[in-house]
Amino acid sequence: MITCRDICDRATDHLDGNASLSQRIALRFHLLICKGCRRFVHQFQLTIGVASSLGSTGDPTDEEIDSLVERLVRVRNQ
Amino acid sequence: MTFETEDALIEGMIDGQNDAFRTAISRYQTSMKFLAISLVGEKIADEVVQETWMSALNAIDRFERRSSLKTWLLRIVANEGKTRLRKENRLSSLDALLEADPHFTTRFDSTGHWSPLPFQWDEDSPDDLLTRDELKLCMDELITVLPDLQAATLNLRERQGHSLKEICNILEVSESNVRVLLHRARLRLFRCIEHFQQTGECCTSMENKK
Repeated sequence: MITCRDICDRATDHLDGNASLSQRIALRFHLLICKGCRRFVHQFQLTIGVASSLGSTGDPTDEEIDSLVERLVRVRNQ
Repeated sequence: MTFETEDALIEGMIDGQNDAFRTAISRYQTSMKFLAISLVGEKIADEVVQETWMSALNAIDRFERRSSLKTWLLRIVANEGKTRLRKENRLSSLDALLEADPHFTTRFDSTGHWSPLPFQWDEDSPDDLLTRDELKLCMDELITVLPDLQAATLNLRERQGHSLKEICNILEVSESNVRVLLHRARLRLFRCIEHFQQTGECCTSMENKK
């Protein structure tokens, strides 16, 4: 019988498709009967969504690219 | 000049063509810097990326093309970053990063059930959660204090969309360890959002930036 602690430990494997068939069935069954784990798994998915929605670093400017190209060419020609 | 295939671009770099360097930098610099920031912090990320380009230039003739050029460059960023952290005695021990978060071990009773239940959040989508500027700032802050390999794994997976196999290749960590690093980082974010939902405050105020 799996516990809420197991659900918490395996949430990433479960959501990323790395759980075995028997683990997936046990997990699904536990979620059917456990309000706390349904809430946890849902909010864990929201967390993953938040992580992927955070901003990126900006693209390099033309000046930055020019100066880097210049350095690389200089090193290459040495 | 456009380099339609990756092979053409690599050949151009081997020949020392300006256009090839320009194209490679335009395509990959953003991802490389993004990974470097997560691994070593904002202050020295530019230096690490510059070192990476120099190392890549010296090694491009020997690049065996078993991975994509991007994965190869990101792997050099990770190596340069780890070397730098090791020199400064700042590289986290992998074993410590793989250990269970003590916070979560206290949230279950002796039979392994939640005690109490997880706190119910007010918002129900990532966009709704991030409409609160304080939380967005808090998440950005948290990324800067997450330990190196955890932050890098989270960055490569959630923010740059790499597969677990690619992340193993880039960070030179086994796939099972990548899964644990990712899970620990996600739990850390979860805990921080939960704390914010409960108190309206960020969880990172007591921690040091990389």
